[in-house]
Amino acid sequence: MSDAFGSGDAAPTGTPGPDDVLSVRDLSTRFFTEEGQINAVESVSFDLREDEILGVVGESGSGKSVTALSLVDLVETPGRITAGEVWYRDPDLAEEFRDTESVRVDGDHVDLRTVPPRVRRSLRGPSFSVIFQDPMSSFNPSITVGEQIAEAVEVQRRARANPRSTRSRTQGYGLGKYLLDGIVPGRDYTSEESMDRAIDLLGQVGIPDPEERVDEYPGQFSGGMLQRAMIAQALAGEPDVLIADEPTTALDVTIQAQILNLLKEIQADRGMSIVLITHDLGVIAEMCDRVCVMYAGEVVERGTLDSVFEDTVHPYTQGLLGSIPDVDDPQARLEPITGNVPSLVDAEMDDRCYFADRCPKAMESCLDKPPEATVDAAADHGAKCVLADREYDPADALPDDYFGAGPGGDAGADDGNPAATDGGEGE
Amino acid sequence: MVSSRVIRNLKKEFRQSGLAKLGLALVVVIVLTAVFAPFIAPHNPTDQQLDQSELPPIGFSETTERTSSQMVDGEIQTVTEEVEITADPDHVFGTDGLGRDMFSRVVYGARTSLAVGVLGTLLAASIGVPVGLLAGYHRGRVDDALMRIADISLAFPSLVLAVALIGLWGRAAVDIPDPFVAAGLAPEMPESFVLPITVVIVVGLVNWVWFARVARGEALSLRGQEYVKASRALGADDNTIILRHVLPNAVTPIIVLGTVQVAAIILLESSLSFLGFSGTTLSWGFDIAQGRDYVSSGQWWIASIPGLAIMLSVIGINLLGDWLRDALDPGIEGEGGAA
Amino acid sequence: MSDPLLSVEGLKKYYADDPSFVDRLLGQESESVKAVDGVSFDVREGETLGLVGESGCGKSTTGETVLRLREPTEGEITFDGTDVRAMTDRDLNEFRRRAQIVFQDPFSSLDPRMTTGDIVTEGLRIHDIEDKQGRRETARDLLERVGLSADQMDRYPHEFSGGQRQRIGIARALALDPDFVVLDEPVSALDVSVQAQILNLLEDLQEDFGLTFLFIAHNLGVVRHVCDRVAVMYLGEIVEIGPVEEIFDDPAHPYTKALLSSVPRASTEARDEEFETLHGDVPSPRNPPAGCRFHTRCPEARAACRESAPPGYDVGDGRTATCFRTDDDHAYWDSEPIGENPAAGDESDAAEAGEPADD
Repeated sequence: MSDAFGSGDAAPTGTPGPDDVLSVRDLSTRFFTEEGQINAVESVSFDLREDEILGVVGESGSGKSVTALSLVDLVETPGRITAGEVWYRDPDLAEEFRDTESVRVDGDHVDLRTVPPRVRRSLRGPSFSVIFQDPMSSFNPSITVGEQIAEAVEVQRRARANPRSTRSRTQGYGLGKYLLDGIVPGRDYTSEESMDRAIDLLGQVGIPDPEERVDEYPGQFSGGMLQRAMIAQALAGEPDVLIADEPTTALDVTIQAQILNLLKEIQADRGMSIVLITHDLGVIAEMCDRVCVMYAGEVVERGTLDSVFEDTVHPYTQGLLGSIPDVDDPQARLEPITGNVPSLVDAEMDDRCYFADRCPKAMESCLDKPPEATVDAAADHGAKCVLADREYDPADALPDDYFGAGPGGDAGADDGNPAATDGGEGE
Repeated sequence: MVSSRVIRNLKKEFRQSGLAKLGLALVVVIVLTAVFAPFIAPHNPTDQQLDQSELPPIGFSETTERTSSQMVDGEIQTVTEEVEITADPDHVFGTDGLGRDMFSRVVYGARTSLAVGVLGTLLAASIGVPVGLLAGYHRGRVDDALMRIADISLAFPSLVLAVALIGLWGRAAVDIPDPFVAAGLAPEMPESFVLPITVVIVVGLVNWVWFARVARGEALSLRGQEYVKASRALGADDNTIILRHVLPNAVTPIIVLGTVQVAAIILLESSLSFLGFSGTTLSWGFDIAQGRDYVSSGQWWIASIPGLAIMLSVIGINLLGDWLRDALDPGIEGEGGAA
Repeated sequence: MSDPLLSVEGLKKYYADDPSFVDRLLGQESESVKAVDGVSFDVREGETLGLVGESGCGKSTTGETVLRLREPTEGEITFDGTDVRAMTDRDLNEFRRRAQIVFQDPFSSLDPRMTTGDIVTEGLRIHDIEDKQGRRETARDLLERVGLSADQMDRYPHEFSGGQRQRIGIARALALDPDFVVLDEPVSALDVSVQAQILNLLEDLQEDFGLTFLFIAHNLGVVRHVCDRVAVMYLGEIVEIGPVEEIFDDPAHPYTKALLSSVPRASTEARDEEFETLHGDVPSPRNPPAGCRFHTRCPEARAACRESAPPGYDVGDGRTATCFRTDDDHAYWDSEPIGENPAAGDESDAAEAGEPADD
């Protein structure tokens, strides 16, 4: 890690270190909607190390999923990545673009925001894979599961066969072939070998009788089995980075445990890096090496799991932890965070700590936007909170009604656009 | 019941869609024409002026061979001469074979089409919506029976069904006095408007199935909503639930269907008039039938102008329907998962 | 905390698959889903009984059947000494005032075309309680009581966030001043910080209004937090029931044990431990396994479990569990183990479980 810890600013800056598979710098994604500009991701920076699981946790509307989509350039209109760098470690790619003026290259790292879109696209599969929350809608219901996994294998195969040409990876299946498939019956897009590999992959993710199930349609799979199949599909490209966006949110708790165990095994076996996005701090605690806590589009606290959970600095992180009803220890009373997640509409975002209006420890100094301050350099622990540098002083506290709402009050804070910021996720 | 958001959506879609503007303009023109027909029509549409028959529309002229018997040198001879008939500025769309002003006929035809379209749709909806809501909400045998009837009548060509029903019941018409004429504001015009009541009833009976199907589908999905369950838990009976929770939430697709049905019924009415099954002679379809024989002899306008009127009104209404659908549909459903 | 307010005995709810027209014509029996298959429990006055299980176990169906929002197939439901199934329309009307429900989905549970005030007072209108002015007053009080502001009563549901909508749903349920409320996953759709607000609110309301709750949930942490007693359901049956402390600290049924160990703990000690969890999927409730329904996934299953279904055994502390292991003298102990299957092994049932039933 070559981050220069020093003054007060601990946000990852400068060039990515040799261990960083992925280094994100000041990434911002905005949505340009009827209601106005929505700052879904606001200047987010973090590093993903080799061979680790990085957790990104936050409530709905915190920007965690958009962050994930931004990494793989899958943000859809009206959303757009408006700023930032995504450094990806790939010596071959770095070599290929070292002399290209418009592409930023640093050692083995390439800034993916500067490479042509065609190259970014070709990295999906062999370099990055994504698994989503809802396996049902991620599979095409009219094609067998095996076929869909074999397709992913096929993409990988072409990429292997012709590593220097990013073109070949995406353009193998042209119109001619499509027409031929339509005319010649039984001619599949996928080869026998890819199908065998698909069976192999299904077996690896713990699907019983993969030889038979490979020919079944997604509708014949249960939710948990389909999530396994999606993981198999993601593994087909043998990616360096697996992005798992709420991979277990739609599943029952015993099935969730199976899938989490599977992800852990796969990560350990292959030494890949996983970005695990979830709203469940329990999942984070079971799975992750390091954590980023997101709120209102920002990473408000990050660091190693131990450091963030044990030496929590940011009142938001503390609030999240205090909100969880513990299975092993029933507290008398939960300590929820008052109020609602902000709407993220640009026009309504004051230039202050975004959490100040819900924060029990809001002080005068919170009215200025806090930079990320180092909490514990050894644990890579930083927080965007003034409390990282000083103690809470009731003398400086903002009056309770400073933001218009009394305590307890999501009552008055409603701004007419909450449907977009709260609610969607089940557990 | 219509929230401000719906109105906002309507406005937004309207601003964005040129077609919506065109549709609304066409419909407004047709409605105004139909309502104020006595003031817009320059002539009484039923007045025959045989000396002015077959005049072409303005901007066109027509050459006809006219044969007449003349005394030439003491003999009666048949003389054929080429006559150039020019348009008369008093008849902008020309005249038909009996010398009736085409423009006035088109104007009055709008009344018939619109009246049959709107009344027929209301009748169809007032049968179809309650039946559909009840069937969808209660399921069971009623629902089964309804769906079978619906399938059968949808498989049956509606025109044939309509013709059969009219054949059974005859062609009744109701004379409705024209208030403008009665008040002496347009003394030249026909004193009453002839509403072909059998046609209204028949198109209503032929088309109610569409409303029943849409209402049933809505009721079927709405009955599973938790607010319906909550209402039952509070002790509401089925009729209350249907009126308070199901109908209001099913209104949007029914309105959209309604607009499309007005257009469909206008077409059906025209077809029936064309075939001579209407109870009125002031109808676009009737005029097309009249003009049919003239097409081959060169008087194309007698059939084409009412045809054009049908086309424009159907297009207008359908564009309006599209606009309503786009503006209303996303508003109520699926406002959940935005972020 | 003595007499049961609600008593359920042998409750069954089977769903016939929607028979097609042809089936009806031919008089064919359609296959039925055994959503709830012989469930018995009491809810005592003033307590919160948790009903917990995975999706498709029948917990929500149980909650709705108890209120006669669905007609039970079989079994007895007694509310405050009255047979709920035998109620006439008038009795049912009275029952509706005393027993209410709060739903999971804060979006579909509120009619989008009604204002908050109308939603909250719907029950009063139905039962013709108070005049218009009085109802508005009640709505104000209720909205304030659930933590919303009274001047929001003319707003429409879409103007509120998920947590606020859930508060409206709670206010609606309380309008008729009920004794008993079924809470059907009331916080599952909410973010964790908002979820905690609602849980605290429910706790306060229970105290203030003297409410008895049937709390349906799949989140074990939530159940432990709010419930006095808990019933664990699996495939339409209650496998274990008893005081929440005892069950969570020392589960008697292997399924309860597995559920508890599957929950990810939000503490740093959890990292690097493999979860102990179950293999395979929940079998289809269309065709549940013979014998003990859990034997296909149970790590402790033996041949005896395949042969007969275990009855409820009293395991002390007011707990009952349906597992042969709680009976030291049972033939189970002498039969062949069939459990501990490797992940890919005995999962023929998993193949049939392709379509887990709606909960």
